[in-house]
Amino acid sequence: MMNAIANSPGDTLELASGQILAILAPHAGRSLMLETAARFALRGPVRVLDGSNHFNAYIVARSIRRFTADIDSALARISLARAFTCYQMEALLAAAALLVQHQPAPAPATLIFDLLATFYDENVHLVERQRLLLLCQRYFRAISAHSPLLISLRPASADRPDQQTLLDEMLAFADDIWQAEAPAAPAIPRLF
Amino acid sequence: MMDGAAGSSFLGWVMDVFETARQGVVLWFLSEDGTRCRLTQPFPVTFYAAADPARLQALQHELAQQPIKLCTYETQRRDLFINAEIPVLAIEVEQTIQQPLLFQRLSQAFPDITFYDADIQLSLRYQARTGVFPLAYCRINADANHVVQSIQPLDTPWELDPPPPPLRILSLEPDVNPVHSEPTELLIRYEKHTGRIPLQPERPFIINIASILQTYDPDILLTNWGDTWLIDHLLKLSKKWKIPLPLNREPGRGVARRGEKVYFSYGQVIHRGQQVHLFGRLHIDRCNAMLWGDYGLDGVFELGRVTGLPLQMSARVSPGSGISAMQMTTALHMGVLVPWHKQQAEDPRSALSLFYGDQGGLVYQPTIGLHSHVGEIDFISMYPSVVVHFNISSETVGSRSPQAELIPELGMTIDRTTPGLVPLTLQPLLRKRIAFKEQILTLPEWDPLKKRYKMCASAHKWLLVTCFGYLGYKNARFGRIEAHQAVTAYGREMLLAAKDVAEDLGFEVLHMYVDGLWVRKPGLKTVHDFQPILYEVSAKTGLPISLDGIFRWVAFLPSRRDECIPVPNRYFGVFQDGTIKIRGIEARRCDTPACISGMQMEVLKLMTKAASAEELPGLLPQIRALLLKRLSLIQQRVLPLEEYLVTLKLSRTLEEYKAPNTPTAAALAQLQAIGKSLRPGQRVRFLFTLGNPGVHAWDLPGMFDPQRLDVQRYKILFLRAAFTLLQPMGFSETGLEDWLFGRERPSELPIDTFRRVGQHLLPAFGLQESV
Repeated sequence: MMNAIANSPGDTLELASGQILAILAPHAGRSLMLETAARFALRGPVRVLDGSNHFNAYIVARSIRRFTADIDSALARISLARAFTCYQMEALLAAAALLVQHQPAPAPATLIFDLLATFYDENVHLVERQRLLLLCQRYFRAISAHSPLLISLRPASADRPDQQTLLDEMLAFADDIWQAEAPAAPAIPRLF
Repeated sequence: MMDGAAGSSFLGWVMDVFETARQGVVLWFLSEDGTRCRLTQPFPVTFYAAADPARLQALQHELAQQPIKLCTYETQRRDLFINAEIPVLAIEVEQTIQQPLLFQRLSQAFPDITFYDADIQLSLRYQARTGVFPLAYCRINADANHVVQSIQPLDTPWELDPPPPPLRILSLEPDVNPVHSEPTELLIRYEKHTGRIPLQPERPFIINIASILQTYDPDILLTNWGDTWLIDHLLKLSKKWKIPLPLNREPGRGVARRGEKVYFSYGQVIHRGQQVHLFGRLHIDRCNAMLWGDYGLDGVFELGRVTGLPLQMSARVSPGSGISAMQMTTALHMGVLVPWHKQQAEDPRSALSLFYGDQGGLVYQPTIGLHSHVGEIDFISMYPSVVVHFNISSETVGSRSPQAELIPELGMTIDRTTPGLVPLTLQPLLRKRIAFKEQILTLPEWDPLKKRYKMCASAHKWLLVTCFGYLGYKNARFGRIEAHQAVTAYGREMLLAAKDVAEDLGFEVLHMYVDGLWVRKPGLKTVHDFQPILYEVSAKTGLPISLDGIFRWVAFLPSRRDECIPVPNRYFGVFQDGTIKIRGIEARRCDTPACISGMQMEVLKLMTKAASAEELPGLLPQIRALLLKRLSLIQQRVLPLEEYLVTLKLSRTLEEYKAPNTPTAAALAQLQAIGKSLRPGQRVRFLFTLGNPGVHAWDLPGMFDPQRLDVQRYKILFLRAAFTLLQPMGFSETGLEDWLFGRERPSELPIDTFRRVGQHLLPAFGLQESV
């Protein structure tokens, strides 16, 4: 199912355990995800797994500041780990899947920033990337059973069918997909 | 060569090592008596696999089916990231050449198994086992069949003056860049011979080349555009005219090609052209070699020696690959497993710790304006020194050892008691670079060693510059992002410590930029005056620091958009010995036309006549005359066309340019229209022209009429570059034009600009403070 989001997913999306929600947007919806992390951090602990070093603590701090002066407490509630290769992403998710099973309920919400960035690396054979992505999907199920899960994805390049293959696999896997709407063109004033 | 009954003993240099089908490895050896020998040596290689016992059993079953000679055994090896020995299955392959293919098959059949030491360059394995590296001076005992019985290195990569190998070098250069136009002749140089051979007619040309290769038998083929044009052209002619061309010494081998590559590095798109490697002879293409302009052949030799990579490879690979190779050699020496794919990800941390800890290098904005009595002091190779001094390595950061210390700002720990793999790799390199720099400072200019030392130091510099970034690089085998952050955290701490020391000693800190400080104290003029600060900083931080120089004057520039905002690392100045130092101005940029950067350098040269900032205004009449002369030459279109060339590096393909009318896109479209396509990372050269599209791509065929040059556009660039230099003397952009074209005199400049420059300059302009 493909839905459309306009602004902050924190305003429109309801995350619940047991469901895998994906956002498809240019730059993997970086600003949306940062805003979402900030909103969740205001409420409780959040786990961020970052696939493209997109997490910018300054932007998140700025978002938090709109709601509270106690930025440090909110930032401290965000647990962050970055992956720079698809092997590392798989390792991070394996560890998170294991951890979530032993955490007291409710487990923190899990946000995966730009999941496919590391998988779009053409230096790793596509078959190998698909194998790793399949493993990741198992971990997503395990994580989502205990914790709300939001995954951001970036569109594939037009000239890279391998990227499209991986994206299709993720879109087919997610329970619900939200796609960012292109900003509406400004209305042109008319004389008549 | 000493012959004996059972064989021979050789003293000399190893030029190249590579795999052969049935004899292990081949060594091409340059003997002291000038003989070039081909030797072979059995060289089984071992790699490792780690998995649960059931999977390892399946792997062993698969290995038993392989039609090659190998043996397996269970053993324990150290995994650096776990920091403990782990059980692994060792797979020893008898014939070196069969290992890569076997590994490829196994990795596909058993993707869940973790492999180690599986894709290590042969020369690194050879160095780890024998101590012999490219161009190592060694003693070899070989039997009558030229099979090596023993090999003993007689020097180390860390010698400052290793015995120089008497290499024969043949240089081949087409008369023009083949991308620009069709070459017509080849410039040939070897020893004292220099000649030009016309490329037409083809048959005598290729006969000539084959004859030179045969008779001179060079060790190194040094070419221009050899990788991307020349070697392929020679091979094509050889085939066409059926003239054998002995490019290789190794019998039965063709040339080895490696495809072109485009990648990102430090925010830039880099393009590396196709590579052509030879066997038994070395091919180095100056135009495709990495940083050739910086360190030349001496630097390539030095890189080969210290990284252990074959010379043909060390000439072409990035410094990061060199550092990676050195780390792998250290790992092999230490018995540490080299992971095929690093799986160790970042340990989870709070966003709060990232917020406070992930800061990069420290910058203290400069005080805008002209300054005298300024010394520039730099930490010597700061980040590598920090790595070595604080023992920063993947396995030491985050240590749970009771002796572990806390890293400032990061809240992480570090074990400084057991030397880590990365510091162990860097320490000798850092020592050697410091030794080179000391030699460079003491040797007279005429000493031929000085030039070699400079080249070697430059090669080291790039390795050391890269080693820090490599700690955070995703594909670094022994990289770890936390270690990368630890380096900058300590770096910031050390720079702040240096600032404290400077201020305690009465210096004013004008600017700090990651590893350097610009400090001022009126009255200090000699190197001796700065010794106390150097000593104190070094004592307080434990890091080596040196005085880069004392400026007669230095100008820190403001932002173009807002003259009140300083810009870090954008300055120019003149040291006491007359050396000009520039950073961030037009003359440093590679996209500035030569006529503009040349003007800036000429003006700066003129400005070196000023012994202090106060004397600069006295040079204004001469500067004006020079500027008018240079501008007139540009406007008359009498300079060689190359002087007007703008060179830009492509960051995308033509289709990806959103605005097709930008100069770069327009030049690219012109080239594409005639079938010359450029890839991201390559450079496009063009001239600004009148009319549409406003540019003329340099590599278009045919003559260019200089009357088409858009001199008005060059004038704008010219005035902007002149303004950069004169702004610190109080000129505004419009004021500069008025002054230059005789509309006003300098003393009539708006007075507020003088206040901004500084009160001390007012008398120099004939003005009083009270004005």
